[in-house]
Amino acid sequence: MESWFNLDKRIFKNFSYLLIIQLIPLFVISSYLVYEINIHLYNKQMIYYFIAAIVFSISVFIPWRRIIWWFVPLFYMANLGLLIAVEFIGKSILGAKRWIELPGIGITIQPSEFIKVAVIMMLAYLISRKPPSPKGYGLLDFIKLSLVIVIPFIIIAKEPDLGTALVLLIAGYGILFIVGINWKIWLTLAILAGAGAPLVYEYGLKPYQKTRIQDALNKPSYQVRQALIAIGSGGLEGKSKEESTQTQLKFLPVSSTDFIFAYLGERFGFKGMLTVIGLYILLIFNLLYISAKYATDYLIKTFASGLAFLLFVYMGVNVLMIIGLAPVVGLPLPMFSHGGTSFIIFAVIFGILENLIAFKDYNRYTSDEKITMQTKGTSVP
Amino acid sequence: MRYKIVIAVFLLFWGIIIARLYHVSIKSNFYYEGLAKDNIERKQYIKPVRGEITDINGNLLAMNQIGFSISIMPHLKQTDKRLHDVVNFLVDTFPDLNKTVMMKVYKKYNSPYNHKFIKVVDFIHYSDMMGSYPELSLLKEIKIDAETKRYYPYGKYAAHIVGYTGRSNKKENKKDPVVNEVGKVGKSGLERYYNKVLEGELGYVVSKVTATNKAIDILEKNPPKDNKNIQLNIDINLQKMIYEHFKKSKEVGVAVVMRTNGEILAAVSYPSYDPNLFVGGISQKDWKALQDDLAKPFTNKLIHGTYPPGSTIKIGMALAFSKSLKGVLDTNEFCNGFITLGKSKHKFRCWARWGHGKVDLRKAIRESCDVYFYNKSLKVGINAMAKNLRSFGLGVKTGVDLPREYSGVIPDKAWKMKRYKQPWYKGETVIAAIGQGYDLVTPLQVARYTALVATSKLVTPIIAKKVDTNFTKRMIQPIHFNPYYLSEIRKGMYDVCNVRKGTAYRTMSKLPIVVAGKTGTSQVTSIPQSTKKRIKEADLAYYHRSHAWITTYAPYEKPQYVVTVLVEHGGHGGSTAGPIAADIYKWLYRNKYISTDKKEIKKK
Repeated sequence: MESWFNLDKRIFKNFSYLLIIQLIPLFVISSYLVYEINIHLYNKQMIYYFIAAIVFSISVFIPWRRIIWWFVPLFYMANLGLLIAVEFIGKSILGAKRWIELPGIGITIQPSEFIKVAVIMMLAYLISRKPPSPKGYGLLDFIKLSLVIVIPFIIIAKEPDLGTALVLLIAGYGILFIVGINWKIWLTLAILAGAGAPLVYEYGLKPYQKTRIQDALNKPSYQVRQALIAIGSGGLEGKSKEESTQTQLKFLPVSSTDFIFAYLGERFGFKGMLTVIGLYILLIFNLLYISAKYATDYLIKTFASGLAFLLFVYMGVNVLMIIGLAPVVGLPLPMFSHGGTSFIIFAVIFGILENLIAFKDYNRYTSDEKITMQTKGTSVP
Repeated sequence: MRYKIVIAVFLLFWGIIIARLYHVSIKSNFYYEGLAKDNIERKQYIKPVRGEITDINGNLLAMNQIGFSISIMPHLKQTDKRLHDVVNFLVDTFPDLNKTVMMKVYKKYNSPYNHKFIKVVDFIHYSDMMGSYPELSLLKEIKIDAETKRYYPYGKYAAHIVGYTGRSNKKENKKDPVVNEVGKVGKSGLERYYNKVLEGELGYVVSKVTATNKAIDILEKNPPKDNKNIQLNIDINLQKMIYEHFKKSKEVGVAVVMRTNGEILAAVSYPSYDPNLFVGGISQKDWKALQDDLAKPFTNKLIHGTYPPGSTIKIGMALAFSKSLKGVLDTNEFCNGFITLGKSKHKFRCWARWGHGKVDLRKAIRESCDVYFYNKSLKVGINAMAKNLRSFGLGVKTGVDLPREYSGVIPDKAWKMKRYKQPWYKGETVIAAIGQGYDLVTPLQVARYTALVATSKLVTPIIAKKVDTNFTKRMIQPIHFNPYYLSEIRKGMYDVCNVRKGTAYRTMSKLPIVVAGKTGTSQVTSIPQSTKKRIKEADLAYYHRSHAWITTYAPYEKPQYVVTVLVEHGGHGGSTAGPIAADIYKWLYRNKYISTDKKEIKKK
């Protein structure tokens, strides 16, 4: 353990700098917009960035590969426990039971936020322990892995927090698709889903969820309407801060969080929106590239693709709901909307990924080092 | 391969997103730009101040009192102590206010969607408010706004002419955007007729507002166009004098004083009502009292009272004869007291039992011989008579600047067929010739047609002299008459007032000016059932009594004024209506409206 820090140079050689550099423009644009909306929120955002940087650094240097075998199952189970606890001791806000109040300190946490990390880690751990055969996983393995996804999905969907639940479902099965499942299983699932979707809509959804879906498709709600006006009035180039009346005069609700993309449209127009979407596309491509590059390291492969799916779903649903093509489910634009929890969790996920990439050959390094040390004759403490 | 599928799916979604964004922000940019502008612009109207009405000398007949309205902040619950405290405080300060009414109004307009203060007190007079203003202005639950209230200083004296304003109803709001904003509209009289002018034009402020409707900037401001005043031809002092005359002699009736060019100097319909009762909404009790009064104070008898014209029709009837059948007036008639028609034994009597003997046109007017007119009418026929009388302004609207005027009836064969589905009888022609039967006219029609006889010009009566900045137009339509007949008729009218045998000699001959005129006594044909029920037995005789008419013009040589008086159930025209007309002429002379007096004429 004490030799660990001597390896710094080589660890940082493997570090994916590009991944971090890609994030910076997003942070800059986001901060700029939040600054214009409300300077107090901007100050808070800077604090979140600071905390996120610390959390990221810590998670980069936690030896995940060494502790994964006990930490991940424990973390996953603990999160499931918290989710179930929500059912019993959870706090209801606006009809949804999603929060637990920590006794004594008065902080509320939302376990469904953490479960995303837990599920991705759990899948990564299970897959790396037993990688698929060239034809992909068989039915039995598929069911085992599915359980990891479906159990928290059902609990979260019951809260109800359909947005987060769907993110989990899509990201989870996306990972499985990338890693490889026998194509016959996918075919069966596709047929079942096609047949089952109308039934789910008829009996599985709560009335308010149905109205949300219908509203999204027919008449936009007040917030979506205001968001459309904001984007539409921005045009190609966008408007100056003073002229961005939709946001500045507060017609656009939650303009700094869930609907920040609409302000982006009003302020910087079609060009601005295209730039930000482009940044996300590049980021997701890079993650998929990393996932494909480390084809043999199932931990990285799973984690990178999981993160890619997570970003895709968050960003896709957020933008679609703002432009009135999806129901308003309260998903933020990842690492762009103002908000602490979600941002810090992404910092952790990026940190873990960087760690996995950096310490990919950890075991080899240590053995290599022994050899070098011996040849060079340096003393081993 | 799997990566390619994933990337393909991702690209599909991104393609949809970008296409939609392109459509919204570039293709529909103009549309959304408009919506964004609509969002931030709020137009608020500024109420114009209603114009005032003055008489010819500038006396205010309708004015605006300055005072305040009181509103209470919205979203207070009915049980909220603050609400009760505020209302109680208001009731303590202004004892006239009613707590239950205020609470009811508050409850009606209080809703989560209403963010405006709720007006619970419409008007408190400036002087009442002064003492309590400092205290009230400290309460944050209430808002005090400047408010005007219509006030009629001369009240009942000119109520039927000036009219009144009241709260507008939904239909009126829909029709006129100014009424919709102001919430008040002219309900009757000139207030109604000239409402469009008096109300003025709305001003507005376009302000930039936030999502919570808070104004942060003024983009455009356009002041209201108001103070559009109206000056009348009416002299309120004359109006008052006539009103008091009716009151003193306890007579019900109408008096019109009109210049021969149509300008109305005074028009009294007695009894009257206080228009100030209607401004804030009339109480049930006051309304019932007005409705139950058998003298019908609420009816403007000037244009809504229709009476048989009686003998006053004879001057016009003679002109109608001359226009209908050439030379018909050249022959004299012999009156032995009555005529009969065909084989019927029914006698159509002259008012003079023993007859007038040989009667020519001048004598027929002077002594109001019925038989003369009976015989001539049989020669001319009802249709020609009716056609000409209508062209003289009887049985048709006068066109005066008052709303909802009645036209009355001058019957002919077609009218009767339409109205009663019956043919016309000769006997009806005969009685129509003396202004009875179906004949019904308004006092203003009689005044108008008297002016026609005096000047041979048909004028449109007009009350307003100046509307806003424009003088009203005089509409004068000359009608050609045979000068000989016209002068004979006028001489007959002169005789009525100035010759011992004339029906109005006693009252009109001693005036400082020479008056010509015609009296009339019109029989009450029937009393409406609804009225009859409410008449006391002892009063029945009164309600069967005839209406008394007198219509005159002066000076005889150079006609300037027409005075027409009707006294309901006044009996003979000369004796009840005459004194009122005489007083009016004295007043006109005294106040220098008429300068040429008798002596001057005699000198010439």
